[in-house]
Amino acid sequence: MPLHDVHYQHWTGTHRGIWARRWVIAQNGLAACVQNKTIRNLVVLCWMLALTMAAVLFLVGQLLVTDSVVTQSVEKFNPQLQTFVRMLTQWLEDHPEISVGTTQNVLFYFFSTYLMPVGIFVLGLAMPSLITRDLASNAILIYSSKAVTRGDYLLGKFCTAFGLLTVTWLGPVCAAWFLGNFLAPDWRFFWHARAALEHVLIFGVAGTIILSALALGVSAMSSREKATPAAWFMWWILGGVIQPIALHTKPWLRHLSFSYDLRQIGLSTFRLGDDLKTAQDNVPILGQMLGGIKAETRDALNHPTLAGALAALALMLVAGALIIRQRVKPE
Amino acid sequence: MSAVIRAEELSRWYGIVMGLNNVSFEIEPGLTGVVGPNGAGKSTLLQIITGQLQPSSGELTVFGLRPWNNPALLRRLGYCPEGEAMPKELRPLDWLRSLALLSGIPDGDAAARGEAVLDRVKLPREHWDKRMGQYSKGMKQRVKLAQGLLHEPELLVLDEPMNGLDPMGRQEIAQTLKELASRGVSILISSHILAELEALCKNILVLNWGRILASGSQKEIRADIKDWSEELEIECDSPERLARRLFDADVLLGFDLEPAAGLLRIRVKDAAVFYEQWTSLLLQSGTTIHGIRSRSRSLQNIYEKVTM
Repeated sequence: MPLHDVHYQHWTGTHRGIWARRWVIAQNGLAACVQNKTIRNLVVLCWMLALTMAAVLFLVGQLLVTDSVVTQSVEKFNPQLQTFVRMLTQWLEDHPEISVGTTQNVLFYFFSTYLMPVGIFVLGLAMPSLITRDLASNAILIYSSKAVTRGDYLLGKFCTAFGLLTVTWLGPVCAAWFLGNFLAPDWRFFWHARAALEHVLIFGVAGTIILSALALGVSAMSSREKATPAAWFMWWILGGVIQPIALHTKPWLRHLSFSYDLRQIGLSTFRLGDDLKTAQDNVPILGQMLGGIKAETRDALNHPTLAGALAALALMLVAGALIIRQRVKPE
Repeated sequence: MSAVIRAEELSRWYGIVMGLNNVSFEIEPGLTGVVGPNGAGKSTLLQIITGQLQPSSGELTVFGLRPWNNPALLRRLGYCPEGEAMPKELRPLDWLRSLALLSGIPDGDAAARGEAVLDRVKLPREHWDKRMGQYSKGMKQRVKLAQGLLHEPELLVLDEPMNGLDPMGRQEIAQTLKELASRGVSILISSHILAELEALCKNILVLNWGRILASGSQKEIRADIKDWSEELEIECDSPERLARRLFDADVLLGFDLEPAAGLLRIRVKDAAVFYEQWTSLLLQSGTTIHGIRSRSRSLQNIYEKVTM
C-alpha cells in the first residue's frame, strides 16, 4: 500500500479579510523600501527636520511670553531692543490670530513645500519596490492567482507609496505642528493654529495621493529596475528646469512639472496672499518691510494657477492609469 | 460526477491572434493533462481558469463560478505558472509567508504552512536561507509548486511543472501530485513531456491552434480515433513462428519482424478479439515470451493521431 501524506487538508479556518490582504501587499512593499539605507537615512532626516520645526515654533511661542528666556536673551544681547521687544510682545499677545495663526500658516507652507522634494526623492528610490520588480520577476502572475484582484494589488502598492510619503512628508509636518503647539506657552495655540493644520492636511493628503498615483504609473512603465527611477527623476528635474524658462515664453509648459503643479495647490490651500496682506495691514514695522516684496512674487502668491495645475495633474493621472492598465496584467 | 471545470464556446484572442477558438469541454475531478504544442493555447486556457485572463467570448466556470475577479474562488485554486515568477531578492520562507497571508491565512499559521509546503515539495532545508535568485531551475520549480500548495487548494493548476527538474525530481513531484490527487485535490497539469502525463493522468485534453482536438480518458480517446489500432512490440525466442500463427488466425493488420533482435511488431485488427484469443494463440505457437510493450497506447501515439 503506498504511503499517503495524511497532513493535507483544505483550509477550513477563518480567512483574513480583504483589507488585511491588501495590507500584506503594502507592508511587503514598505519592508522592501526600508531595506534601502538611503531611504532609511532620509526618513530620519525628515523627522529631525520635524523636531527642528517644533523647536522653531517653541521659540516663536516664547516671543509671546513677557520675561521669557528668549525675550530676556534678546534684551541682554542688545538692551536697546528692550522697548521694541516688549512692544512687539504686547502686540502679539493682543492679536493671537495673527501672531499664531498667520505665522504658523506661513511657516507650515514653507515647511510643507520644502519637505515635499524629500518625499519625491524617496519615491524615486522606492520605484523598483512598487511595481517594477514584480514585473521584472513576473511575480505579479503569482499574486494575481491568489485571493486578491488586480485592484487589490494596486491598492496595496498605492498604500506602499502613500505610507512612504506619510513617513517622509505628511507625518513629520503634522508631528511638527502637534509638538510645536504642545511646547507653546498656552494651550490656546492649538486653537489659533488650527487653520495651519487644516491646510497642511488638505495639501499634504492631496499631494500624497497624487504623488503616490503618479509614482505607481511610472513604476509600471518598465520592468527594468534602473529605468523607472531614472524616468521619475528625469521627469522631476526636467520639470524643474523648464519651469523658470517657460514663465516668460509659454507659461502653460510649467504645468509639465508635477512639483510645480503641487505647489500651486499648496499656494491655493494656504492662501499666502491673504497672510501677506494681513501682515502688511496689521503688523507694525514688519508690515512696512513687506511692502517691498516684488509685484511678480505678490502676483504669484495671490493668483496661483490652480485650474491649470489641476488639469495637468488630472492628465498625468490618466496617463498613469493607462500605463498601469496596459502593463499590470498577466499576459 | 460533476465537472470541476466547464467551458462553453470559450474564445480568447489577442488582437487578431486567436489564443483559444470557440472551445467547449468539461474536466472531471482528478488528474487531467493538457497536451499541445507551443502556441496551442495551453497557457491561455490555464490563465483563464486561474482568473488571470478574461475570456473574449463564451464562458468558463470553475466549481460553477467564473474565475475572473473572483477572490473567493481563487482562494480555492492553486496556480504554478510556466516561467520564473518569483522575486529573486527574497528567501523562500519570507515569500511563502507573504503569499499565505495574501491568501487570507492567519499570521500565526502562515510561517508554519510555508515550512510544511517546502518540506512537501522536498526542497532541502539547507537551501531555505538562500535568496531565490541563487536557486537552480529545479529548486525554483519546487518553490513555485510550493506556493501553489500553500493554501491547500481544491484545484491545482500546473503549467509545465516538470521543467528544469532532474529525473529524480520529476519522480518526486509526480509522487507528490499523485498523493494530492488521492487526497481529493483536482489537478490540471500541462506538459510537453507526454510520457510523464501518460503515467500521471487518466484524463487528457489535447489542444492545437486554440482548438480542443480531443478530451476524456486516454481509453475513450483511443476508441474514438478511427484509424487507431493496437500496436504491440513482442520480444520472444521465435518471432517468425509467432507471426505465422497470428497471421493464420487472421487477427493482424500487419507485422514487422526483426529476427536477430528477437522482436515482432504487430498491428492488431480488433483489440477485443485479439486479446480474447491471445493466450491460446500463444500456447499454440509454442513461443516463449520475454516481454510485451504497447506502442499505440502511449500518449505520444494518441497525440500524433489526434493532431495529424
